[in-house]
Amino acid sequence: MFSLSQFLTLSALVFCTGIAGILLSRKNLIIMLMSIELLLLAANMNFVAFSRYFSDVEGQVFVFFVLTVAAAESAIGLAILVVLFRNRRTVDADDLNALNG
Amino acid sequence: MSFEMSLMIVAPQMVVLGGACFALIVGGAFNSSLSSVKVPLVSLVAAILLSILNLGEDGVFFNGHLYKDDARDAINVLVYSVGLIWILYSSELSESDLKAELWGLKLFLILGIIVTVGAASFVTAFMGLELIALPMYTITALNSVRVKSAIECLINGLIGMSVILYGMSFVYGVTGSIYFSQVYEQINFVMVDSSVRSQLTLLFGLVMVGIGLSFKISSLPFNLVSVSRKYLPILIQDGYISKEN
Repeated sequence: MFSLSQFLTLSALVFCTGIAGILLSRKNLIIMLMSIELLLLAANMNFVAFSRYFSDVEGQVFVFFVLTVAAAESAIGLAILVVLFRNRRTVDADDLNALNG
Repeated sequence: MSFEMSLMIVAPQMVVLGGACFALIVGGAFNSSLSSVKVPLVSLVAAILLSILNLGEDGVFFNGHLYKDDARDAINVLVYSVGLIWILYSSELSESDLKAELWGLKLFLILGIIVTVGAASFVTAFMGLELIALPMYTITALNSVRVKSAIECLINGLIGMSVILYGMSFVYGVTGSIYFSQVYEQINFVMVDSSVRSQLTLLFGLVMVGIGLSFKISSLPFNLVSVSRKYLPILIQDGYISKEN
């Protein structure tokens, strides 16, 4: 049987992997989107672990909402990415400077 | 509070949601933005009237997920009214800016603001923030010139929301509740009577929520590590409006 701290350690590792993916792959937007999904998964894992620890279903219900919204976000992100690629023939994050002050 | 009573309280939101879905269907079926502008106008007027009819019934609804009091009623009417003016004003845009899906997305955005205003738990706050953010990305991307801005807003918003969620999970882990009122009570208890370990975990969660919110709006100092590296925009849409319009 796994303890709460083991679940939290695993989720912290997944979260750090996601952050590292975002920081190290600033050239590729698709990898950035995949890394963001890892961040969301780490948060979900925390919610489920705490929910199980408290024997309380609220955290698990929250995870369902997060999963649903994450799917919608990914769909919108990929759709925008396709339009961006059609316009510019690149998915390089370094080219994204339209909002620079 | 009975379920029927709760449904009456959220009747304005349901009208706006129905209007948004109907506007998207009408826009998709007839591909005429000018004809579908009547749908959001009618639904917003109906929402204002229903909000005024519901004035005065205070309390917590949907098992503690939604607050309603006089201040929130006033804000709701104000948001619906400003939304009405916004949609009337944007119907005068040039033909290239008008897309059939625009009105449905704008109604979803207004609905997101209303849900966020009435949020009484992490679930409703999260859903409200996402309902604001997702239509905003899509509205920005409707014009092919602004797709770059849309993807920048999307990446910033997604990273911010992920960090907020990670922080929320620790706050839930220490307090044992996702309801704001219980979380507030538990924070007071933990900060006074609990162990240092619990206090540090709670502080970590709250700091992560703060960092996520700051990152989501690209405020200082997180503008330096966000994708677009903006200098001092208050909100993402401010940056979008100032640079792209």
